[in-house]
Amino acid sequence: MKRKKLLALLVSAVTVMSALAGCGSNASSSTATDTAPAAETKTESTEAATEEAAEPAESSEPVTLRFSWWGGDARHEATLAVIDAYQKLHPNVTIEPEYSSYDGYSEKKTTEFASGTAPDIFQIETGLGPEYYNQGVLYNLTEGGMDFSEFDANFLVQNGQFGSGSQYAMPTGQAGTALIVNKDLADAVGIDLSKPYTWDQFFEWGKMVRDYDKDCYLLSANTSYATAFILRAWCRQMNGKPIVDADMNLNMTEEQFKEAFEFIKRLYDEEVCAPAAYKAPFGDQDQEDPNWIAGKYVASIGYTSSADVLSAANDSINYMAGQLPLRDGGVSDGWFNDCPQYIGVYAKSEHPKEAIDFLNFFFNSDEAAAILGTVRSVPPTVKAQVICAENGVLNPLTKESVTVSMQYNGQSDGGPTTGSEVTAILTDAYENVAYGTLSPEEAAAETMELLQDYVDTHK
Amino acid sequence: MLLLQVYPFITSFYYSLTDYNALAEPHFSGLSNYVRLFTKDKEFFKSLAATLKYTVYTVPFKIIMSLFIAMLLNNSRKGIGALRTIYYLPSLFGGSMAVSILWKIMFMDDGMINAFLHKFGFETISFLGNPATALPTLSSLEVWQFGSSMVMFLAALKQVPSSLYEAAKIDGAGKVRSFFSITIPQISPIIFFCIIMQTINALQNFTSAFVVTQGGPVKSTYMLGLKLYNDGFLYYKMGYASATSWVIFGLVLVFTVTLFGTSKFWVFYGDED
Amino acid sequence: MDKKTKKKIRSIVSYLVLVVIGIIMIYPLIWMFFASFKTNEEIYGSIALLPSSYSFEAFRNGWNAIGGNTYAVFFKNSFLLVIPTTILTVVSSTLVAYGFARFNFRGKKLAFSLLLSTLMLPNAILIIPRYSIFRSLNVLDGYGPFYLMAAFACYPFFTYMLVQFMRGLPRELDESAYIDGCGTFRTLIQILLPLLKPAMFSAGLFQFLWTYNDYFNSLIYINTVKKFTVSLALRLSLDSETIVVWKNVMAMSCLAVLPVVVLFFFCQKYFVEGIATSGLKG
Repeated sequence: MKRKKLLALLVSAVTVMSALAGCGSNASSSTATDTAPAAETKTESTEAATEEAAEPAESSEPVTLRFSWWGGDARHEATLAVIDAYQKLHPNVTIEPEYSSYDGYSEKKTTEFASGTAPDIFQIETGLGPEYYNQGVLYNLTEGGMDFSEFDANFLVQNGQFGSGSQYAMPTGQAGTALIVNKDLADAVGIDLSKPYTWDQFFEWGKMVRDYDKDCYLLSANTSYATAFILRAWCRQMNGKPIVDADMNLNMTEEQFKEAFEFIKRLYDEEVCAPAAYKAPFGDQDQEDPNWIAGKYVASIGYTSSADVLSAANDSINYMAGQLPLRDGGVSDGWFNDCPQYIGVYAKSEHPKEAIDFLNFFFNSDEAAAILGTVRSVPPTVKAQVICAENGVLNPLTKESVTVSMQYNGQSDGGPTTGSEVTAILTDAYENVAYGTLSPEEAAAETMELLQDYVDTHK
Repeated sequence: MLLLQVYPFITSFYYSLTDYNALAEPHFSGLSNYVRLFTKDKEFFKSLAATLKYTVYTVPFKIIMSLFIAMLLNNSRKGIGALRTIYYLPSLFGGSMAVSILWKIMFMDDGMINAFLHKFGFETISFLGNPATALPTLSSLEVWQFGSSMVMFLAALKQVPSSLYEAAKIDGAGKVRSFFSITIPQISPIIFFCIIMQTINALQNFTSAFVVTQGGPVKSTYMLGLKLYNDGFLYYKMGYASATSWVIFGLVLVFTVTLFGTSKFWVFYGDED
Repeated sequence: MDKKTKKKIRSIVSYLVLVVIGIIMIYPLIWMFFASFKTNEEIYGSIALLPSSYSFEAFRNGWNAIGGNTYAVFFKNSFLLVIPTTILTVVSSTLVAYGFARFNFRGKKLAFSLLLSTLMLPNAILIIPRYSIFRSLNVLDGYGPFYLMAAFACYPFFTYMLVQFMRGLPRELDESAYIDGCGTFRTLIQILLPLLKPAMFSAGLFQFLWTYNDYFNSLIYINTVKKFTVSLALRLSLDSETIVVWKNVMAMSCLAVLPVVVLFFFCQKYFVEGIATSGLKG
C-alpha cells in the first residue's frame, strides 16, 4: 500500500512538474510574442507620445506599480512622500513601495530577474548598471518617452546610456570621489589640500603627519574605497583608459600593474595610510573608526555621498573637501564625476508607460525635488539643485565635494571595471599588497591572469 | 515534498553542468565548471582550506562545550531555569546585525578584548584585521552560539531512564564511569546527529562570514558558502556556483558516509537488539 | 569529610562554574543592552560598559520605524509567519519521522538517503529553483512559501532529528501497544508522542527561532514592507551612506529577542520533564 502511495505521489509530482515546465515555457513564449509587436508600435508612437508623456496616462484604469529601492531612514521617508504626492495626482495609480537596506538587495534582484518577477521600477547600484543593461532587464526610457529636458545631455550620455545612445537608466544624482579633510589637523601639521598637488607631495605629507604625531595618519583608507579611488584612479592617470573597457579589452599590462602595486605598497610602507589590519574590522565604514572619530586622520577618501556621515562622526572638527592627488605627467587627471545609483524600469514591466510617467514626476517636478532633497546625493538636475539650496537641505560639505570632483575631467570608469567581479579581483590584489601577503610582482601576475580570464569568458 | 525539495535539488545539479547566469537561459557546458574549479580557480582551494579549518575549529568545541554545559544544567536546582536561558541567549540572536557589530567592537584594536589583554601585558592584536587570527575569531562567534546542540543534549539527557543510573549505582559505578558507560551510549544517537549537523553547518557556513568579515581580510575567511553565494548572486555565475555547492555536497557526503560507517561501533539505538 | 559535605561541595563548585562561564557568555549581550543608551561616538569610542546617561529615546525612536509602520506591525507579522510554520513543521516532521523510524518499506533506504542529501546542498543554490516554483504556485510576497515548506516536511533537519530521537525509544513500547490493540496512529499519539515531547519541543523551538531570525529567505519572498517581519525590519535603515543611529538598532535587537527568550524560558520545563518521570524501563 505504501508503495502505491509513493508511486501515486511520484506520478502526481511529475505531472505537476511538467505542467509547471509547460506553464513556464508557455508564459515566456507568449510574453515574447506579445512584446515584439508592442515594441514596434511603441517606436512608431514615440514621437506622438513624447508630447503627451508629461501628461498622466489617458486611461484611468487602476494600475499597480512596484517600486523598490534601498537606503536609510531619510531616503525611505522622502521616497514614500514622493509616492504619496504622485498618487494624489493620479488616483488610479497605486505604487507599492518595496524598500530595504542594501543587504541582499541585488541578490533579490537576481532572483527576481531569473523568474521574471522584478518590480516595475527599481534602484540600481551604479556598478551593476552596465551588467543589467547587457542582460536586457532594463527598459529603453528614450523610446518610452521619458522627459530629459532638465538634464545635462553630456551627463546623461556618461550615466545610464551604457554606450547605446538611448537612456536605459536615470542617474539619481551627482557623485564623485571626495577627500574629506580634517581641516584642524591639516592646518596644525601645515598641509594645504585646497590646491592641486601630486602623489609625490602626498607621500611627503604622509611623513610629516607621522612626524607630527605618532598616532596620526594622513589617510584613513579602507581597502574597498582605496581600490576604487586610489588604485583605479592611479591606473587611469597612467594610461587614460579604464582597466577593462566596454568591449572587454584589458588595458593594463602586467608591468603596469606591477608599477601600480609598488605604488600601493609604498603607501603602507611609508605609513601614508593607516595599517590595513587596523582598518579591516570597520569595512568601508570609516566613520566608525574610533581614530576617525577622535580626529587622528588628516583625510578620508570615499564617495561624495559619505561627506555627510564622515563629518557627523565628530562635529567639533572643521572639515573641508580637499583636492585630489594628481600624477606628474599623467595622461588624464583620472578623477571623474558620475552618479551614486540609477533608477530604471523593468524590461518586462506590464505598465512601462505609467512607470515612466512616475519617473518624470520623480525627476522633473518641483514638488518631488523639494521632498527628495539630497537623499540620493546632490540631485542630478540644476533645477532640483536650486530647489535644494533654497530649502537649505544641501549639506555644504557635500556640495563642496561635488563641486571639487566636477572640476576634474576624467572619463567615468563605469562598465566592466566597476562591475562586481573585476572590483573583487582588484580589491583582493590591493589587500594582498597592503597586507604584504603578496609582492607587487606576484599580485600583478595574479591580477593579470584573473582579469585575462574574466575578459576571455565575457567576450 | 518531492516538488519543493527534490526538484530544486536536481535543477541545481543540472545548472552545475551549464553556464547559467540567472538571467539568460542556461546552455549545457558539460563538466567545464568542475574542471575550472579544480584546475584554474586558486581561490577555490583557499576557500576550501578556510572552510575545513573553520569546521575543525568549531565543531569539536561546540559539541564538547554544549555537552559539558548540558550535563551541568541537567538538574532541577533553584535558578537553573534562568541559567539555561542565559546559556541559550547568545544563540537566540542568530546572525543579526547587532551581533556582527558587537563582535567587531569587541575585537577591534581599541576594543574590550584588547583592553583586557593589555592588563596582562599583551600587545594589541588586530583579531579581525589579521589574516591569521580572523578565522579563529569568527569561529569563536560560532562556538559562542552553541545553544542549539545544548538544547538537544538536554532533551536527550531527559530521555535516559533514571533506572539505569540507579542500577549502576548499586553496581558501585562512579560518576565518571556511569557517564561513559550509560550517558554517552544512551544519548549517542543525538551526539551523532549533532556532529553530523554541526559539520554540515560548518562546511556550508555563510552567515557569520557574511555579516562580520565579508570574507576578508585577504580572503582569510572567504569560505565556500560565501564564495558560491558571491559567484552566483553577485558575479552571475550561477552554474559555477552550483558546481561549487555540489563539491560541498561531495565533501559532506564523504564525511557523513564515513561517520555513518563508524556509527555501528559507538551509536546505540533503542530500537535495535 | 563525609559523603554529604563532599556532595555539597561538588554541587557548589559546579554551580559556580556555571555562573562564571555564564557571565562571560552573556557579557557581550549586557554590553549590547547598555549600548542602546549610548551615542555612536560612545559605542565606538569607549570600552566602558555603562552609558553616560540613560534615556529610552532609542526604544521609542526605534519602535516607530518608517512609513507609518511600527514594530507592532512587524512583531505581528513575525508571529503570523512563525507560529503556523512552527506548528506545521513539527506535525509534518513527526509524521514523516515516524514513518522512517518505525516502518520498513521498499526504498526506505533510498528515500532516507535522499532526505539526508537535500540537507547537504547549500541553501543559497536552491533559492532560484524554489523561488520559481513558488512563483508558479502564486504564493510570492507573503508567508505562503514558508507554510508550504513546513507543511510538506521540507525541513529535513527536523525530520532527521526526530528520527534520531525516535530510534532512541525501545521498540517494545510499540509492540506492547499493538498487543493492547492500538493502531499505528494511536501508538504514535498515545505511546510515542508523550515520550517525544522534549524532542518535539526542541524542534519547535528551533524552527521558531530560525524562522524568526531568518533574513535571506524572508527578504526574497516578502516584498511589501507592510508584511515585513522583525528580522527584515531590523535592517531596514542600515545604509552605509546615511548616518545609522546604532543605539536604535541595538535597542530593537534587544527587544526583538524578547519573545524567543520568553518562549524558551517557559518551554524548558518540557525538556526537564521527560522520560525520567515516566517510569520507563531501559
